[in-house]
Amino acid sequence: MITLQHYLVVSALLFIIGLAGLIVRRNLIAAFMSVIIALVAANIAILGFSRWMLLGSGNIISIFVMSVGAVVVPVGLVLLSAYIVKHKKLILGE
Amino acid sequence: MITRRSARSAFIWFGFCLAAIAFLFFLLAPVVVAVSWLIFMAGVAASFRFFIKAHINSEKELYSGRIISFAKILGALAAGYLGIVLFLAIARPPFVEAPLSGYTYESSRFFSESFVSNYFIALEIVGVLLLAAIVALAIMGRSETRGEA
Repeated sequence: MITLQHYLVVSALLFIIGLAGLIVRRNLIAAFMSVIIALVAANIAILGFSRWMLLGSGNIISIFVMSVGAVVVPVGLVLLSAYIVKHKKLILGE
Repeated sequence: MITRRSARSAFIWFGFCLAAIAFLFFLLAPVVVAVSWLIFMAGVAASFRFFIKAHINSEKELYSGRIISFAKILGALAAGYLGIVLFLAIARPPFVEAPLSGYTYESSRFFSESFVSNYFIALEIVGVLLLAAIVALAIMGRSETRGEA
């Protein structure tokens, strides 16, 4: 039977992957993808707790987080685009 | 995803990851939330796809082999565990039996009433944030186009 711990472990692993990608990758797009993965991982934990406690607040918070994510993604991509246009490269530290 | 050398390859694995997570949301969250997240993830994937198609040709990256091995092991563990959880979630009932009908915390009525009562201020703030983001995107896109010209 699936318990809360299973979802929390999945969430933790995804968050670690996102964090590792953010630290390791020098390609800006891949680093940005890692941020999205970490965001989704946090939401899995929120929804898991919400379902475990039979509360609807977690679902509402999840929708708000999704809204903020919907803002973050296009703004981040436009900033990346501006960075590419200005520096003619997509890799940090070169 | 984080061990791929090209951004195109990383994007393919990113899409697989989002698809698996969307499936997990359908098992974990109410249908309203899960469908919302599915639409969000589809939008994110499409945005990245268009961006990569527009900007990337062949980018190479440099990083040490030790980190690659560590990340591959971590990714394999996460993918395996996610697969096990998905399999068990499909084969076994969820750990909390969801109510089937009526006014519950999973119903659309609960969401609509919550948005206009307890979470009204938060809803307004998110609305203003979205509007500010749209305006900022328009301004940044305009200046960027001028820079290219």
